[in-house]
Amino acid sequence: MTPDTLNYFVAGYIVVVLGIGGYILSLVIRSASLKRKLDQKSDQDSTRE
Amino acid sequence: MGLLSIKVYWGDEMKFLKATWAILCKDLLTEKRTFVTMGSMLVFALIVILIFMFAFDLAVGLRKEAASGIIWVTLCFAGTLSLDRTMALERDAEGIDGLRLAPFDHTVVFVAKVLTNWVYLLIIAVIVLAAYALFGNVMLFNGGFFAIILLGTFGYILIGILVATLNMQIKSHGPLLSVLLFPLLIPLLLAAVNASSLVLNGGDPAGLRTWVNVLIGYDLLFLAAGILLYDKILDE
Amino acid sequence: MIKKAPKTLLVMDALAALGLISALVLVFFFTPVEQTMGMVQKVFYFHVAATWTGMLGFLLAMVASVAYLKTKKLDWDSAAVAGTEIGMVFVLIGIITGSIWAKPIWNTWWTWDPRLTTTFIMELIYAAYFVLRANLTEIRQRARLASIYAIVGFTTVPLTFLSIRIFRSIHPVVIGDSSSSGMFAMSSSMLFTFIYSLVVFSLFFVVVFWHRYLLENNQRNLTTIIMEED
Repeated sequence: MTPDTLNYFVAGYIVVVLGIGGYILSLVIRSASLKRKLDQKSDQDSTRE
Repeated sequence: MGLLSIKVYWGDEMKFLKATWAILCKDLLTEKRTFVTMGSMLVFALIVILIFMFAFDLAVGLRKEAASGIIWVTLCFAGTLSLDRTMALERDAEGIDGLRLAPFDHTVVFVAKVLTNWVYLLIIAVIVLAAYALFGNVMLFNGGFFAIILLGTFGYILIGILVATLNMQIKSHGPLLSVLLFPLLIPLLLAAVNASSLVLNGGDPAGLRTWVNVLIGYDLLFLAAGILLYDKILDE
Repeated sequence: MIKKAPKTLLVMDALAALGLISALVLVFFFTPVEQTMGMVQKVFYFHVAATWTGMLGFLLAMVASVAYLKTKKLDWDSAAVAGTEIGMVFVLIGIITGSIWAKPIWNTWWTWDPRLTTTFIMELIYAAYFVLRANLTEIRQRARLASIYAIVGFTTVPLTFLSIRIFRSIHPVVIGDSSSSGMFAMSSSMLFTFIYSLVVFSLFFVVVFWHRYLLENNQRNLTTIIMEED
């Protein structure tokens, strides 16, 4: 009789998807904030000139 | 700051020993005058032993079995005090720049620091052993146990000095030492506790040999790593 | 100079995404359900792949740290950071999925067996690596000290593994039901999916690593520019 371990299976793959997705999301967010800082800076620079 | 007045000419082995000796004497002399390091280590170690005794309140039969673990954990914690302090000494008195400017190999600093702190830890170990034996009413004075303590504390100090020197260069260096050091100590701790337990309580001699080998391996590895890397840790 | 992701990388992004999705499809629909374990066995495909990716990251970080100390090029430091961060994330995913797999099979969320324990300690060491970095502000000093710590840390890992294995061989542990061992026979479709997952994750590793590496470089360059202007 094959045991019913469907719940664990689902849990496992939710972890994988959230984990990978979360990390990629963090990369995207960090990139975006970097870009924002860069834009702010170039605005500052151009107003200075 | 007698350190800066040491004239050492590079390229001479005797000078290496002399320079090591010089730093050793400087540190030990400071310690002899103030007893800050050993005093705080001693008090801390005894308090930890006390806490263990209350927290576990072991039956007499178990005290010998638990001795190994409790004593090694106590030594690990007490050791961090000396590690932090030995590099803090240099940092506070601007000694670190003095050490950097001094015209000899930084490895000298490594060897000297290892030796002084090893001595402090060994002295504390003997006292801790005596305290545990007294409080717990167990017989702990055992040649094999001393040998394991020698090997284990040496390895501890080796990696401890490496990490402490790293740590000292950070602004808020105090609490970080434990965080950086302890995960790296696991193999050493495992080997030391198990070897000590086997020596104290009897057991498989082949197992003992294996653990002693792990200890020796760890000591050699970090002696080599220290000698190779210490320059980089201090150098700008 | 802030670099953007090159075209090649963007193409690889798409490939990696496709790869991951296709691997998921394979796992869900192509592989058979294992008899003794049921559906949870399928977690195995991504569990091993994730852990493998994580270990790759740590190894890369170690190499990068040595390279930094030798060449003093800060790009290597960025590589070390990227490798360590990815390593931590993927190994964590591996640990959690492994734990989820273990619960129905061994009836326990955790065991102190050598691999698992060593992995846990590794995560601690690399968390400490980031704590160290967070406390250092000067860029070159941070790179130098972090590299040394990464090297020393990595060196202890095989020792830790060996020590725990020796410990376990002397104190064998009964893990839940002693008749189940977590082993199963692999059919050809399982084997194919397994290897496919490994390949897909490896590609994914390269892609994520590259992006993280670029991010680290850019962040550092921006900080340097800002500091220089002060």
